Amino acid sequence: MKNIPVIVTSVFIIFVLCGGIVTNYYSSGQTDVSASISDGQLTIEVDSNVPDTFMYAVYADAVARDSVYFYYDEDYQSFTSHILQKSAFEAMETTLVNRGVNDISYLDSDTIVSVMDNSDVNIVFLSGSLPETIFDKNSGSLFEVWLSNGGTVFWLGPEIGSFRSTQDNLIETDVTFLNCNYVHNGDIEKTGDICSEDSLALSVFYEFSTYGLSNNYPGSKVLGRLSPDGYSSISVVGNVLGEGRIYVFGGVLDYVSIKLITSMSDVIASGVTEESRLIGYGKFNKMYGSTSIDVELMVEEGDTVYIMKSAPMSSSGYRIVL
Amino acid sequence: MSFISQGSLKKPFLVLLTIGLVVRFILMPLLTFNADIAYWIHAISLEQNNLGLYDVDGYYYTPIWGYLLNLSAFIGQFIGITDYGIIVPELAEFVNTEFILNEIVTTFGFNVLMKVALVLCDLTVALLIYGLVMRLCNDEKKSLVASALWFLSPLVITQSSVHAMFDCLSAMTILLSVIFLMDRKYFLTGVMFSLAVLTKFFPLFFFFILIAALFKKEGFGKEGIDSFRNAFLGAFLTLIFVELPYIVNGEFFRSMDFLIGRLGIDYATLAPFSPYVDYAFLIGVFILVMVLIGLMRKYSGGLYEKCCSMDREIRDKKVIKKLLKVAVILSLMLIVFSVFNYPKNAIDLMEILTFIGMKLVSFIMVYALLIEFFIAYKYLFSEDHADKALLLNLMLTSLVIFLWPPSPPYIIVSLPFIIVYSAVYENKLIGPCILMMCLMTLMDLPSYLTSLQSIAYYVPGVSFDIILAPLNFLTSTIFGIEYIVFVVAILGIPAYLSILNIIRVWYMSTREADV
Repeated sequence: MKNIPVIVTSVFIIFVLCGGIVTNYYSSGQTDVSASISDGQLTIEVDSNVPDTFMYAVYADAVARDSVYFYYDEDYQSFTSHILQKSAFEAMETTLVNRGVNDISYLDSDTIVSVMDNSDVNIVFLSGSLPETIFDKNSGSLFEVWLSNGGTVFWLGPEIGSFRSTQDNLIETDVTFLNCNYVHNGDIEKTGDICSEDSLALSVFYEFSTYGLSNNYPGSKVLGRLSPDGYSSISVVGNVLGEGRIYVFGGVLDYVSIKLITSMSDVIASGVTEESRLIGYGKFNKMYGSTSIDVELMVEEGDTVYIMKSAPMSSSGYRIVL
Repeated sequence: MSFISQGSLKKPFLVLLTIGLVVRFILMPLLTFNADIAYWIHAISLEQNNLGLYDVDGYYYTPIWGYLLNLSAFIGQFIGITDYGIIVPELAEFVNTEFILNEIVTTFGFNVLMKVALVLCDLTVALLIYGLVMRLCNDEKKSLVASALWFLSPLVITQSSVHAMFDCLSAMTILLSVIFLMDRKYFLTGVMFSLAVLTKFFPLFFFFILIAALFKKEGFGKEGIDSFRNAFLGAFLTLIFVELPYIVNGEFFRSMDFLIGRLGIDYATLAPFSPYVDYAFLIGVFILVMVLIGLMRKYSGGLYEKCCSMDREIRDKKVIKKLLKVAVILSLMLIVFSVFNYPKNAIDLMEILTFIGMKLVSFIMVYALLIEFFIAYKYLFSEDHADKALLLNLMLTSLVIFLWPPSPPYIIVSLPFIIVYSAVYENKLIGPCILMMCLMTLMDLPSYLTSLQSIAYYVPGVSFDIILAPLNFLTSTIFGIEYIVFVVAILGIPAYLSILNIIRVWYMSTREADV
């Protein structure tokens, strides 16, 4: 050993270089995940080259969700910043694909009109407002009809319907699709302190409940965390205006966090609805090669197993219908 | 000149290293502060989700630590450490309190994984300090004392092995920068300086003294200018190398948020113009410095001669006058910035106090920079070319950084210079240095109350109430302010004063020596 400083420098730079390369280009390779019923109990099989940790959540009556639309239009006013919306959507494109939702498309204020005749679509809104092309001053607007026919909305922002956007203005309305008695009025920033069972099952980190739904909202299910006064960071409520379904994410998009992105992606990909029943959840580790684990849960055909890689924050997901 | 051959790693040194490592190995898995280690999970999750470090919020520092986190996770995967922790519902209610807690309890494996690089860093700094002291005075006893002050320091041990904070990386790289400067390897000086600043921004405060030391060694002739050019190229190329993925993606300013945020600049305002504003900034800096080097070739020698020929007192007065003018201008700019950035919706007393506190810190940091400039100026024009003068000014520079009350990990970057100077030249400073390290360690007392979290959760028979009981107390309020704020203030004041005490003891011993 001739010269410690030069050796240390070289080793450190190589490590930084390696770290940088690993950060940007490493992929741990293919992971095959399957699940089956054996004597009424659940068996999960994972085949991959490297060790990993997996979390699982088992639901009855979850829905399939292989495609999603993002509403984004820079030419229309919105409650939240376009830059933040774009950043969030770009990140969610990646995280949703990692969770098996491969069909992702963008809609602007004009093209969104064309999907309003198809109630079997899922639309994510981060704008906090609805464009006037589908939501006008009169009742029975395109959006309301679509929702009543069974459309599904993932909403983050002030109470849905309370803002309408045009190219020039953001207009506050007196329309609400939800029972406002159960919606947080947004006066003070609220965070969720109490983890719901579903939030633990889906490893939800997102905790903001401003504009969130009360856990007493009839027909709703709490998927996130509850503030001390009972408002949730993530809720789903069905039968809105008829057959519509709205997932309400609390807070406003004043910054885009990994917590929001992973939580939103897992909720979308898992297919959990207000009618879903959580059968059980847990975690397991696997070392090299294949692993098969028997989970002591009584399951039936048609139940959904949502398996998330990495713990405690998921990095990818696999949705399997038994 | 061989670094290690100047001293031999004798038995006492090995015993010292062994003791330090054993203590660290015991602490690493068992005790971990709750907050920051959970943020490392968020940062690792960014890469695992195929997102970049700065695509979304989750990682707040410059990329070097992010690279090392992901490298650690990569290595961890191959040795089976893939389970990082679990959400514990009982902790969720403390997440947005003043305690800055996280709802994750980390596993023992993850605790160790996150600290291995930091412990290696501690060890490296101990070796570097040993070698440096041997080089300065060829006294093995002093070398041993200096290494022990670092490697057995409760503050250093806590920050790497319990807190999992990476300030020791910054300390290592800035120390290497100084060693390379003493070896006259200026390109590597620049490389290490850049790495130090890109780890944590505090080494930026060493900028003036390093420049002064370079020109003091080489003069303002061709050798000096070429040396400065080499140092700049080392620093600039390192910046480009480390930041390349983020420059290409237009996230360069985003990656610098930890630094520019403290200057009141919001990276989001620059985001619409990225990556062009990133390219323009970097190209602009490069051209500016190259032009400056050209001008220096032409004028600096004569200017230096002119300054040297001036009466010292007149020169000092002119410099102080100019610095005061700069201080006034910067103060006015900060006041205007603060008025525009005042959180208009702030109704909470804590929010208002926090805002005022942060602005005061900004003011003190600006004045600290100006004092650093003056220290460097005095060193450059002093007649003393000995190593002692350089080490003294490095020590003073490292202390002036923290004229504002720092958190315990921040002072780590100053420790090598305080320790080396104390051990070699001024033993009276050893006591105050030890006192400072102990009080700064004590300042983290509230966090120690949560450091048993992994044991409390994962060891059967241990109740999680040992964590919850102190948490409940510290986050309960009096007059609307959480008790944790008072505790930190009560512990922080003596800790802060102990830093100033080092300056006081040095000054008193200098006066005694003059008399």
